[in-house]
Amino acid sequence: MSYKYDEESINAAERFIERIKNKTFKKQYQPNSSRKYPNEKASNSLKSFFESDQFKALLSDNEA
Amino acid sequence: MKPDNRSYEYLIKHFTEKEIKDRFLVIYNGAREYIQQAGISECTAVNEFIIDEILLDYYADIDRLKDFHNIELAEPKKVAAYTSYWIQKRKPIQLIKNPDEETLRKYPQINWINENFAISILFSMAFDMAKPPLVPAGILIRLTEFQKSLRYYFTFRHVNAQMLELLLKGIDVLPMYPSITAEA
Repeated sequence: MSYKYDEESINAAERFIERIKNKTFKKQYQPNSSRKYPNEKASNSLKSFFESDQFKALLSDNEA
Repeated sequence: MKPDNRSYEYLIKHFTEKEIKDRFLVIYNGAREYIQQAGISECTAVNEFIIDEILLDYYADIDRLKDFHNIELAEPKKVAAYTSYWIQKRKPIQLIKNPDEETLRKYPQINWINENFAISILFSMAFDMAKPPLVPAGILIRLTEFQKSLRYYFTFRHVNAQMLELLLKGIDVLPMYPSITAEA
């Protein structure tokens, strides 16, 4: 036996579909500034960090 | 019928072989330099296969995001955050033998080799550390303290890539280093 929904629920479902079709809802995009990632610069940056006092400090103590 | 996406070949079509190869070099070579600079190359090794897995996970994530968010190219902070996340998750640096007493004294952080590497990647891929810092040395100490707190999070808390991306954007409100860009 199939479940019998009342008219209010059926109308609400139809209104929902209409709102999708009418493009009432807009996707929220995460802000992003598209740009090519500079891989070689990343290697230089990483090398500089490994040679820095900050890297030594990060490795220096015994606390997590 | 949906296309077969059980292999990762589609990533080469979407991102190009050159781009994936160049990114592999950044991570793999970076990990090898890291264990050298940290003085732990005698008892650790970079696992190439895990680096493969990190890049597959990273590109699969970015591919989905690009589709949903209508992104042409992911911005550098997103690149850094998702790469760092998969490094701390997959742990590409492995102990290959028990460290001796001298190594333990010299490198008390050996328990957190992957967390420290993930932090190095997070900041070095988002900010250009080859350029002079934008703040005095006294202020940079705060960044180190923050990195140590982050290491605690990596080890004992639940971390996700979105949170790391937001963290980098928060730091960029008052940046300590210039953001990394392809431009000079």
